[in-house]
Amino acid sequence: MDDPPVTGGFMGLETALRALQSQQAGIDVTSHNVANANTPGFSRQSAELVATRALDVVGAAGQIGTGVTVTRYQRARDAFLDVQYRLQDARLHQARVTQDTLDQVETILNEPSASGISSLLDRFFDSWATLADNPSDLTARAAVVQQAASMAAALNGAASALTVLQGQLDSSVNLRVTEVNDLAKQIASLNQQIVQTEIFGQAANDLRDRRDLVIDRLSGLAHVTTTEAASGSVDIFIGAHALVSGINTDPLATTPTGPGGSFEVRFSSDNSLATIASGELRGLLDARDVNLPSYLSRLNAIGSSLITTVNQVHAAGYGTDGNTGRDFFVGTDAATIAVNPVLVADPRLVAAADAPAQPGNNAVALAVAQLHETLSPSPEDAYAALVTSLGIDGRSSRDLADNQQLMVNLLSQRRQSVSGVSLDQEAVDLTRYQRAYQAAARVITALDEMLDKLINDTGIVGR
Amino acid sequence: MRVTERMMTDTVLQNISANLARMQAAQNEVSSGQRIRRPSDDPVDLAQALGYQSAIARADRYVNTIDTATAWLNATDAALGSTTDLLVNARQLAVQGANDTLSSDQRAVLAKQVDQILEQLVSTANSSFQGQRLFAGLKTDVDPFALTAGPPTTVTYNGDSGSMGREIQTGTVVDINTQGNAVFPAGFNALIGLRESLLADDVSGIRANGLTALDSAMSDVAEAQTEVGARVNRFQAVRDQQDQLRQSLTVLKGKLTDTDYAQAITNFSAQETVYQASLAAAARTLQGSLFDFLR
Repeated sequence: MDDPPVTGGFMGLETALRALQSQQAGIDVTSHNVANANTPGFSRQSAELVATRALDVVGAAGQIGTGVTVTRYQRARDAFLDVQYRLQDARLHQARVTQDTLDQVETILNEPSASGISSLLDRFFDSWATLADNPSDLTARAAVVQQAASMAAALNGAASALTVLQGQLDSSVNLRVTEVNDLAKQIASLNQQIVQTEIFGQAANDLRDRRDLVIDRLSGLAHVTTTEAASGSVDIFIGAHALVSGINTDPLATTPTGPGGSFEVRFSSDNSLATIASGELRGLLDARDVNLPSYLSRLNAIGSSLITTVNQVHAAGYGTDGNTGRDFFVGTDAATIAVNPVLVADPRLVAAADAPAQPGNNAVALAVAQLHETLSPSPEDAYAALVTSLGIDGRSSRDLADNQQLMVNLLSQRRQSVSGVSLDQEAVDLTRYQRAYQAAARVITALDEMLDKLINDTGIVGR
Repeated sequence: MRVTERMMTDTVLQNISANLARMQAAQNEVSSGQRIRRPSDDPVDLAQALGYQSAIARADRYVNTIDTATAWLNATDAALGSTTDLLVNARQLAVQGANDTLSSDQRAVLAKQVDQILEQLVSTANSSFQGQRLFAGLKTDVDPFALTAGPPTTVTYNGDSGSMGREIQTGTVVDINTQGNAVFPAGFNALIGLRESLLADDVSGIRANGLTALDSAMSDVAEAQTEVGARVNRFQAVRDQQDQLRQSLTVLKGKLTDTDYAQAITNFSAQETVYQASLAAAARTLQGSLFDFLR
């Protein structure tokens, strides 16, 4: 308050003008909100109205107000909720990948079903028992070979489908990393625009909304932490390593250096392994490196135990040609198990007897049929255990994903509650600003009439 | 809490799709007849059901084994039955031959008949079931007994003493073949001795070979036949057991994996009602805002 200001006749007009402008701004903001009511990531904005500097009135006690102005446009946003949401959303994405993968494994193993591996194992041993009942019967031998071949084919199919799934997860890792890099670039570019805008004191609300949306998507892929600098620029970290700092990015790269040539996710700058705590990428990496290998190795263990034990008994036996020492299965695990082609070509060579030239001898057939009792665990039990743990894993991954979904829904609602556009509220705001605008216009009319009186009807004596 | 239109549409959509998913699951259970369609539906019950399934397959297998084995035992029983008949016939001839009033010509005729019985006995001892010789041990593809050239004085055995094990329940392997070498030679020798005694007009020899030796041979056969009968009975008992086991396991497995229709349909109707209600609620909440009332 340097000089005692003087109130003039035009001051009221100035005040009314500022009122018109400010209410107009309010309506503009309302219009922007309504327009973006369905825009993803949009945060409700509001014009912050502040009374302009009051004037000291000369010779009178107190001040006279000078009206209103818009100091800034505010964005309704709760940064704490963003952090919460992103953390839980990353976990949700991870849980969904695990759930999807286990779902697919369940589909591959196809249990319970009459054509699943479990039934085929039962039928395999049953065919040996039938051969033991009729050791001289050629059809029983052919049936043993056929049942063994279908069981081997089912094991091959399951093992190769799991391997294919693993390969798909691996290529998904690659795709998602590309997406992460793309999002990181977008964030860096938005950082630049925001800093440039805000350097002049303007809040870059819509740019910030866009950046928050991109960070949401990024953290769904890989959990990130953020720090905002005073300039408005945001740095993004995966683990402790920066992915975006200011306008620069350190893109991730996939290198085929993992087990079996699978992709590892590393930072380009220093080739250090990215420590991804959660998110879709974590889910993909875990599914590929932990979940699937565990099922695959258990399936392979069942396959190799079948091969070793059946071969051991069979090789000691004699086929109807009187020869001994033949393996029943070839291969080493579930992926490679197959019936010895020699036996497929001539089932008479299947050994049912433990001595030559004894068509009634079923000792070997009986011993193979009894493997499900003598082995511990039996192949059926080992497979049932595999299916059970798959079921338990699948169940808990589904429960986890569902819980996580509820959590994310809740946080999303809270974010919406803070940032979302309420049409009712906008209707009230619109009415409020419109009325104030009308009133300010009326003030101008009143002042105009007063000035008209003063200018045109005052001091006209002798004119 | 401040509520926006978006929150309401989101919630409505989430709830409707959750209800739809639940309704679909209920519908799936009704239409498939399966309560467990994938392991994660109920891993604990599925583990049990898989165990039952294997046990059912095993019980099935034992029932099949017992049926095949019983057919073999019945064939053995029939062969031993005709053996007894033949020996009884031979004994009647021996009784006739032991009569002091018989001439040597008449005894020679009887001796011929004994020879025929001997041939029949050899052929009975060589009888087979589904191409497998019953009394040859494990060499089931060749006739175990052969007469030396006529008039035969010995019968040679070409089989072995192997036994045919059958698993009739877990861990229980029972032999099903009767050792021909232990049952038949006594009969063969008695018949050959009888024939020789008849030809030699040796009445005391006829008594010794014909009556005493045949009686002892018959009791060997009867013993073997009793044993076969006992095994058939035992197999039948085990079969009944396995059959019952199979039935009760099937019921248990069904309880675990099959749809309980009363419950499933009630559940489905309940889900359907909930779904309809959520649709109705959505239709009413999603319309309108303050703008509809401002003029």
